[in-house]
Amino acid sequence: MTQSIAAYSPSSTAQPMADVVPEETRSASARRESLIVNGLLALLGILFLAPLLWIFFASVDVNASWALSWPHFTLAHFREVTRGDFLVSLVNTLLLSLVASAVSTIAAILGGYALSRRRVPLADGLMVTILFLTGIPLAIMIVPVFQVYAQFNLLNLWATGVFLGVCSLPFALWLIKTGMDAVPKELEEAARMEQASILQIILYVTVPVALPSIFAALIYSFINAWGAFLPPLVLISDQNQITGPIKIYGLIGNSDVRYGDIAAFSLIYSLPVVILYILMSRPFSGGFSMGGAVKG
Amino acid sequence: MGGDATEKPDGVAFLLLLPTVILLLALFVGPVLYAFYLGLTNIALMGPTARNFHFTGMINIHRLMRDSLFWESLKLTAIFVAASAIVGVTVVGMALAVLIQHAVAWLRAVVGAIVVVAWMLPPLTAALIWYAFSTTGGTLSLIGGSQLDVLNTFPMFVVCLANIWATAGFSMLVLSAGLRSVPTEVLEAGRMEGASRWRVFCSLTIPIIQPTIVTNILLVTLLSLANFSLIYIMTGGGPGNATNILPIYSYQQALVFGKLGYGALLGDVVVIIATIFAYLYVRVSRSTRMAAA
Amino acid sequence: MGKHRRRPLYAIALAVGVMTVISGTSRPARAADKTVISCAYSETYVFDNEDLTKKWWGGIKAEFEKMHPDVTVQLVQIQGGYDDIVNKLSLLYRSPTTAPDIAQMATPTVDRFASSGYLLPLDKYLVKTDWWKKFPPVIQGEGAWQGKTYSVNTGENDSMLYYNVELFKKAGLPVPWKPTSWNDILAAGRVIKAKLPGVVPIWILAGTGSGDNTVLMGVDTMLAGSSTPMIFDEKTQKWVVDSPGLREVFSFYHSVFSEGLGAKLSDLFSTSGVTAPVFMIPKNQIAITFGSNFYGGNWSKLVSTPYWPQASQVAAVVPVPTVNGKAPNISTTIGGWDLAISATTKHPDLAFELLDFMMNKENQINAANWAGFVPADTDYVKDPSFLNFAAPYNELSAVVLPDGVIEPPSGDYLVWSRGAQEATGALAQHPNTTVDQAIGILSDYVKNQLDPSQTEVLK
Repeated sequence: MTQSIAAYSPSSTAQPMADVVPEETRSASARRESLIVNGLLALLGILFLAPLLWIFFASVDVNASWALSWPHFTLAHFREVTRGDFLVSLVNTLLLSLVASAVSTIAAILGGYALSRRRVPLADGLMVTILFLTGIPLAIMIVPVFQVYAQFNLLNLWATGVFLGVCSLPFALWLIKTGMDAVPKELEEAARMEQASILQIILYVTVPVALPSIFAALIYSFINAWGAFLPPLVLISDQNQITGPIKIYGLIGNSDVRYGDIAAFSLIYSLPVVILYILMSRPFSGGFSMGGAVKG
Repeated sequence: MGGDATEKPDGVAFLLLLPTVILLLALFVGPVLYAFYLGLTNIALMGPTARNFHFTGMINIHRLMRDSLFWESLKLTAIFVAASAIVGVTVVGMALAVLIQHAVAWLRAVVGAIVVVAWMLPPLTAALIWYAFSTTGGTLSLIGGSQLDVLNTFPMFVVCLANIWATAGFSMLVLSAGLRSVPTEVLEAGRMEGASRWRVFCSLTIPIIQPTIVTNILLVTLLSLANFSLIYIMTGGGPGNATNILPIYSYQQALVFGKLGYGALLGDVVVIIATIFAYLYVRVSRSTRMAAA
Repeated sequence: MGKHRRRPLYAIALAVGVMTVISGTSRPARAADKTVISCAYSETYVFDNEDLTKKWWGGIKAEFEKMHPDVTVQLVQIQGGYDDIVNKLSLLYRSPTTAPDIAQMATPTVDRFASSGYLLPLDKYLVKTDWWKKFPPVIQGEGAWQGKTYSVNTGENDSMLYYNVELFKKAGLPVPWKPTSWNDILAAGRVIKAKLPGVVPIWILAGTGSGDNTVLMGVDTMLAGSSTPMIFDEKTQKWVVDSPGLREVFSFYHSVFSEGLGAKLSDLFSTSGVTAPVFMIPKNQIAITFGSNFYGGNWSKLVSTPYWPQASQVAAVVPVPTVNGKAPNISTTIGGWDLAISATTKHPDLAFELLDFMMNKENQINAANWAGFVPADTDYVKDPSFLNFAAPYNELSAVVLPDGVIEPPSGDYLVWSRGAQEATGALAQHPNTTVDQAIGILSDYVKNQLDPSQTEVLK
């Protein structure tokens, strides 16, 4: 079963193919179908939105608690959580995530190209092994990693970022390798005819075409690092280097639980990933093609 | 550097893979192997065996076998993974992927954004949101007259819901991509023969995207298995041991009771489970590939 | 297409560069010139709030550095709760480069750190101080392991009953209230339930939400005044999982929860269960509370979480009685926070000087007032600046202190504690759980986690 060219092009986005329906079905039954579809989707949307409402309401509510109630509006919570140390923790989280996604994506691009385009013994087995590493619980690795880092005096933000990058590496490798699999070999051969080096081929031919998967891997690693809780808690000791999740954890464990502050800071803390989604949604969703339908 | 570079054993591939391999070995595989070793020692977080620990052979494994809480935890892990990862996320993700394909543009954008944002939220935030949602006075409790503590009354149910909520977006993206690759000619042919949309979906679409579905199940299972923060923040494994899945029990043994060795062994069991899933995946995908050929 | 692709790489390189600079500059300035003494402590859990933590430790640092211009005091904050503090310290101690010179640790954990070889024996320094001999023996013993002393107490918490005078009067109960048995407590609770629905008659912690604190302020506090207080049998080295005392305690829990005298589950099981009463009592939501001495400080103007000026008129305190009033009719646990010096410290004398400075009168009374402790020193507890800070709570906390019992210091105690947490959780969540079943939960849990041979039944 061959693929239509549209599947390869990264710029072909959310135009679903199955929407191309013959003219005469614009009938009552089609309208009813459309009502059902949109109705169901709207219902699902509301269900998914429901839990999120609390964060918005509680963050501006003077009497914030775990309950969802119409707020007595105040900006005090936001003022409280934009103090210096909170902002520093956000900056730290940003740096941490940048390091992690850089490490993960670069290593995955190189490795993915090797597994996809070069002869590697047991490539399939290797790939599956690497993939299942995704399922390893962090708690089991954290003590040995702490000991290694303590040995080499690496208990800081930068090294923790590298570790988080490594945690995302298996899945990133999978994504990018699969994306590279879908790059037509003819493009590479053409470049090779023109005496291009391996690195040039990777940079100028493979990467641009596999860009959606690379974006997906980059964003996945970024999100993973952004949300990471256990590694920074264990590996970072310096007060000036702690990250957002640790701050929230501190707020929860306080004797005086300030729900409004927790909601407000959680909102601010979650904002960057949401913005990331809005900016990246087109190229991003294209990158999740698993290549499952590629010829066997 | 010639055209037959793909036929010779490959030094370049080795070089390209080097960063990945070094990083993975040093910071990932290394600690995991060390954890496997630790699982068979009497290392403790504190006390006489904190630094002077030694290999103890099968003692920890014997303990594992007669530890009724381990078997309970294993069962809970199975329920959690099966209910939320395999059934919940795949079904909800598929529903979303299909509905989004056929919905009006603005609804598609809004709901898609909500669902993906739910996935992208840091696990800590998701746990907090769901704690607020399901505790007494929270939104869910309204169905019981706002005095019902849904979280502590149906802990496993709530935790599974939370996991589905936080992972469906990922599943939707994967399955959407799979659906997009289904050729319209095949579907049109089915419709022309008078088959209903549902029939077309079941008999044509699903078989075509089966590899994607299988891959999705594997990934979602692995992600759920490794999911620690969500349950830890929401219930801490409780009330009692109602949500004490293996990753949480492993943490409890290692870092609360200080029995690092036994805790490591429990973590090893999770790795083994993940391995079994990966192996099953390879078998299934190989057989579907052979069937398609 | 070419320029476009280079930008992300530049951005990444820039980020990495910035990162290196930042991580470089966050190390202590000019560490090579000055002697550095590091102090590890909890940022959010020990003191009543973060600002007071910063005030106390910041003050220690500033003044000590003034006294010793060639010394830098490096403050290492630990994030999170009780378990996180224990874990972080145990990780930090594993390597001499990360081991803190001075650490603030929970008293039940001192033995475990000492037996790991992480701590420095302090006996030769302590004999030269004038304050050590003023500590009650039971508190001195908290820091002892195998004949040597490894830590020094900087403040204790103990338990007492808080009762709401206004609610008592409304229900027709006598004030001041002097219960002389556990049945007295139940009787008062029943009256409250009958006369004042909507008020929680008796607040006592249950379940696993608050960790060991559930047991410290609940089961253990009562067990201390029961007919058989023993938890760990030193002679046989076994854990008691069934005894008349335990049955008395579980019977009390059974009465409370099966008669509807207890609090809402979501409050009891939440992670902030330990501090919830501090906010509920001023709102007249609870009649009788099994509470801790730190409540009073929270209501003071300085701490204000929340500020309750009428506290001393509305919330009265009385010791938890023994099961049937046997003298001295006081039943409580004690547990607090100690200071210890690392075994691998490069500056033991200087570290002890700093510790000694932390133990002076002003610092100890400040610590007591700002963290809700009662100081160990028998002179400091008489000082007006302590007594008047949260009167009458501080006074009672000093009165019950000498009769307090400590939790067994063994690491396996946490397993026993978890079993007790689950037993009380079952009693609270399923009110028709019988005492036999609760004992069974504790007993099965300990047998499963440790070994049946390590448990025993007291007759």
